[in-house]
Amino acid sequence: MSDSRDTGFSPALIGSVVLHGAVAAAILVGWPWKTPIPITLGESVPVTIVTEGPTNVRPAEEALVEQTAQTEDPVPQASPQPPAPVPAPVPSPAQAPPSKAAPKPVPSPKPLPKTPAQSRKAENDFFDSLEATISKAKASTGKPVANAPKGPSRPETSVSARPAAGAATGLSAAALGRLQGEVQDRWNPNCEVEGGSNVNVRVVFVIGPGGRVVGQPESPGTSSPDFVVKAASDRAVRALLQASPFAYLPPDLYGQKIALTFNAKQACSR
Amino acid sequence: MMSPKGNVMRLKVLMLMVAALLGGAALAGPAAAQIEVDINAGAVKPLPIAVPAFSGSGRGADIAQVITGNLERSGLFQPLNVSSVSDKLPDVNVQPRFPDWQATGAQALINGQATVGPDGGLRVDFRLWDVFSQQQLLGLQFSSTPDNWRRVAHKISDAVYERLTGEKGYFDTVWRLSPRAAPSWPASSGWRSWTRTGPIRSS
Repeated sequence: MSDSRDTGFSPALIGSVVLHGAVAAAILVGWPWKTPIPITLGESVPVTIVTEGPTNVRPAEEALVEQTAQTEDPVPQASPQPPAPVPAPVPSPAQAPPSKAAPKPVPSPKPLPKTPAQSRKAENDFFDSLEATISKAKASTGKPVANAPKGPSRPETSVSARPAAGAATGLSAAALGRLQGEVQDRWNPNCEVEGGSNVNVRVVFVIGPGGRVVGQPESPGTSSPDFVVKAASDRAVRALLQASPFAYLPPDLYGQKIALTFNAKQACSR
Repeated sequence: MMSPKGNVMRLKVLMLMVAALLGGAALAGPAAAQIEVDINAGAVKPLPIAVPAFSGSGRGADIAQVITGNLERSGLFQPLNVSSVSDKLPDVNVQPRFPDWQATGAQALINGQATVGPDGGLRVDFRLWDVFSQQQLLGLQFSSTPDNWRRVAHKISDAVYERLTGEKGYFDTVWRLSPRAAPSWPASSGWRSWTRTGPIRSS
């Protein structure tokens, strides 16, 4: 005991080192009487590696397009000619007399009895004035107006200065109804895919002059991590862009935000 | 302790603040208002897509044909005959002329290129375009051996299918059926359960 303490090596440590050395030597040297077994490779399985990754990192270049100098279709910001009260037309000899082939005037209650000639003249005056009013109104704003002559319209300033109309006027409502129909005709909801019929997509866009969609329509779903929502948003935006421009929208909608809500559940259940 | 006069003053200030808040809200209301339109009906039909032959020297036409077949068989796509405009399709790295493609009625366009490199490897690039928003929806590149072109076409079909429908594609998968003993059923009954051991491949 005293020896091992003196030298610092215990018999157990020495034995362990000797045994480890023996095992290492056995591994390195091997058994001389054993014949080595040849290593055979298993049957090879052909594996084709297909690598994939994003294509060329840089975005596609813009195609060369021959362009001619052009400006946007001019859109009247204000009526070029305010629809002035239509003066009563004065019958002139050059004007065609009320033809006999004209439809028979419908008798209407008159305060005073008139002669047939007076009655025909008055009716002719009415239709002439109506026609003149309509043609003037169409020439000035391109939208139908009431047949009653109006005074000068309020001078307009800029499209963006108009307050947004929460409730559409009758004319706007009709135009928006047409927009709805045209978008519905082009919207291809993703009904065949699981979960596709439960996605409601909202697309907000701004109408510009000529009924064009200004910029890129906004849809929160286009950046969704859910591929079904993303695809649904893409389809909604595509339908909107395919249906545009909405030239029939009245100018008072220009510059306003329009929000379309695409309800796939209803569309797919039809 | 505050005097009654001070209380009245405080009340007046409070009322003014409330009035100002309400007035501000009333003014802000119309500016923030937007027109709401509900779209409750649609035209459910296969998505028209243009898959012109891929350019390059590496079986581009065959790849496009396989993609066309895959998408058409899915029932969710309607590949269009675009031979009249496909000649105008530029290099895969150049944006297509979208008005030409809009005129065909296509809503999506796959523009690709397949080339065999000097090392004999096949390289296939493609881009999926939204014809109306004129945006690139997808762009991928595949490398393989030339005899593996069909698998590349299946992988492209999968990627396009997933991007346009949101559902995982199933073209580059294969059903490999291997019998496995079903412990609950006697072997004599003829029943076997099948295990899916590999990817599904449609062709």
